[in-house]
Amino acid sequence: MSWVTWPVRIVGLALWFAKEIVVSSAAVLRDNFTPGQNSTPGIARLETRCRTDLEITLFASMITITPGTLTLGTDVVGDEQTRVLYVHGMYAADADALRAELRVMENKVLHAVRREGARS
Amino acid sequence: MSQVFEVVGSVFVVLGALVFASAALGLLRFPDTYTRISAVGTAGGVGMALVIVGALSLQPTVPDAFKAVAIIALQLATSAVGSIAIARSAYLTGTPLYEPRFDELAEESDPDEREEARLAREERETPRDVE
Repeated sequence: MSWVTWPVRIVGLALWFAKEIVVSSAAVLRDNFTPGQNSTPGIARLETRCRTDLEITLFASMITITPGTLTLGTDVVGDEQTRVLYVHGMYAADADALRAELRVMENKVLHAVRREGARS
Repeated sequence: MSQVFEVVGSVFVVLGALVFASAALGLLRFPDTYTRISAVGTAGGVGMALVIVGALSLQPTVPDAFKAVAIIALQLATSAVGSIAIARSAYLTGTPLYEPRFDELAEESDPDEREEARLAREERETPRDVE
């Protein structure tokens, strides 16, 4: 059955991503058009559950395309080859808030890209 | 029907131009390298995609639709990877963040190495006296 829902899940990811871009664009634009800087920049370390280069590349690219967040680099650590991302965020209150935001996107990406789907 | 395409196309092209305009504003107003790279990366990907969709809608043909899909996919991917490469090199050469609230990458990287890179960069940027 997973073959049938795969294309649907990928289209769903694209639509969700489009919505996400609009939402985060609004935050950046609001900061841009109002006086002063409201940004709370910082860099968070995120241990992803990505297993292949394709997954981590797609995830890192989507983070960068989203206004307000930017991937700075990646690393592979530990015996289990955990792929780590370092992400610069502009509007997250702290590292954990930024991580929580990214987790949502990670779940969506992995669930769409993997044929068998992925559950968090 | 063609009028609908024309209106939709114009709207998309204008939206794309607005994304570029906001990125230009971001370049001027954002405080440091990383936030500016973020603004440009978004415009290069999203702004281009909107303009391409708009152009396709103004002159819709089937071959152009395939080309548009290829352009958008390649543009989004290269814009993102390019931004990541620039941001990464900025961090490795010790470019400081503007008022960071948290920096978990600094905890992992070698502080001496970054400091060294920063000093080397500053030396390059300092104008030398012309004799």
